[in-house]
Amino acid sequence: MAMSNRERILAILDRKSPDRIPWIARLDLWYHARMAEGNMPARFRGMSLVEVGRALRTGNPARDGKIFNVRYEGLEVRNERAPGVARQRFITPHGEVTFGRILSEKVSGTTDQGLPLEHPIHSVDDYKVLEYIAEHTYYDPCYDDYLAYEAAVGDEGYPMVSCGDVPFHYFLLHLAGYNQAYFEMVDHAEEFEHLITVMEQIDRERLWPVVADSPARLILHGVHFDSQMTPPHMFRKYMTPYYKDFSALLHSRGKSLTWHADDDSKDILAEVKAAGFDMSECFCTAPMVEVTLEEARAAWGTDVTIFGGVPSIVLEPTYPEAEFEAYLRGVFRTIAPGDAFILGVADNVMPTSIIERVERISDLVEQDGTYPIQPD
Amino acid sequence: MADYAALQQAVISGKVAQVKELTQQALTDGRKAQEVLDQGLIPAMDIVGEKFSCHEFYIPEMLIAARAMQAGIGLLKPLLVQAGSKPRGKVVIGTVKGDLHDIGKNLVALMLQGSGFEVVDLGADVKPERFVEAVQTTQPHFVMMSALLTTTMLAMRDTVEALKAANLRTAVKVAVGGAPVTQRFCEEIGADFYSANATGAVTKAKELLPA
Repeated sequence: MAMSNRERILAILDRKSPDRIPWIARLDLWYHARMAEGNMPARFRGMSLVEVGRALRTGNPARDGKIFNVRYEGLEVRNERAPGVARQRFITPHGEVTFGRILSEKVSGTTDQGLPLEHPIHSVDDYKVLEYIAEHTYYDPCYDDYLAYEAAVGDEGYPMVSCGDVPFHYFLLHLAGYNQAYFEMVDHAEEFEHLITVMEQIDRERLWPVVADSPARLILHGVHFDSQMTPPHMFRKYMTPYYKDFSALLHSRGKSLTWHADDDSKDILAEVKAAGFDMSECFCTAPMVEVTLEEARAAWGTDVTIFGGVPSIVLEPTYPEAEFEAYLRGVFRTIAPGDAFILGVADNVMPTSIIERVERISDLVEQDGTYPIQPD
Repeated sequence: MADYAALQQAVISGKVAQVKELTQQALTDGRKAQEVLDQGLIPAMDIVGEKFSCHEFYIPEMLIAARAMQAGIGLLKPLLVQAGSKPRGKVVIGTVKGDLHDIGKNLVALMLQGSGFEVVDLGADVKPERFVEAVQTTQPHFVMMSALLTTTMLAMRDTVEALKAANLRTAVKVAVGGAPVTQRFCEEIGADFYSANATGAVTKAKELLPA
């Protein structure tokens, strides 16, 4: 009897072989764009996102579960929304800072996804405010919500629970913004080091226990690490110690740690493995970035499960049909016999993707994805 | 005597104050601004580019060095203008319509400036008609476009078409780059060249427009 997607993923987390490689595509952006533009293909009209995934024979990405709610004490948070822009103001006794996100026109109004627009660090005084916010942040478990979500996902997938980011990368991405962050590290080195140390302490004391005690098994922590933006020497200095300890804690509780790998990881493959990650999800490969599936397999073996392998660009009309087929054949050849691998799109089926290619991947998985995969 | 080795090292290390000081010292010593640029700042950024190519430097080090180089250029620019010095070439650059990612574009712009090009930076989310307008008003040698998303890279094609429609396509070389962009896409949309990174873009621009 065929395994369910849930069983396949759990088998992989247990370092066992599934009956065939799991195939799970994120369709959020494609689906929301179709809904927003009113051009959903006729056969999907009236369907929910999950139902479209079911019709395309991909598993449920199950990324909406949560195990805690964030609570702040001693400060005020104001959420402000304008067309295309969302802002969050934190008002503290030390001053206030604002996080702003610009919402993509393709998804605005349908999801909360967006690109950081405004970063809270504008002057050295803002570090004190951010330190205060970190010190007054609490994580209240909501395990029943998670269990209800896991039950709702059922056999179609297994929840991957997002739990934040390593303080250093959070600083780069959200607090200062990539460009300014590197200048801050030089210009306000002491304040920068102090802030991420405080944030790390708070994580260790308040976040990690809530994650470790939770019923969730697949923990997503860290996004967009990149050969260029988090280069090897910075990864080793600011991220490896954090993740070594965090992964060890999670492993001791039977959990797996994954990160969102939708950028280029060619130069940090060794660091990812050494940090204790069990999986790289939304793992993006050439031709969209430099790293290849072969390089990742060579560096990680089956120690780090690859969840991805289909860069979204190969689903685009600009990518020739014959090369799309050849690319997929190459993926199957590279990952044979199929251990430690979940086929997925990195990072999303995009609004302009050819949706029939998603179905074609489903066909190939059903025809040729049975474990052990036989290379051509 | 101007210490160009020290100036170069200060740029490479990203030391803004030291770059300013050494640049000013060279000028005070009677060196011409063009010489300080050609023998101090530009060679430094060439070394930074080499270090980037061999993965000794990454984007953080590039940005920090480029900022230091800009500090030196800031002192030289008025003098270069006064002396009638011409830039190596002129580039209009921007991230295409619908796309707000600007790190790659900024890096290319900084590296171009570090190589003696004048850069007209249109920013992010630049509509095709703004590229056209900039070409009309500034008459650059190059139009360079960046995109990070598969959904926005198609705006590069629109921009090339807009340049054609305005009879400006042959007046400029068009370059494209960004994560989803490939050589094939470059050829397909009728752009002139593609580069996978900032140093490659600058190298190609130099090849096409020798000093």
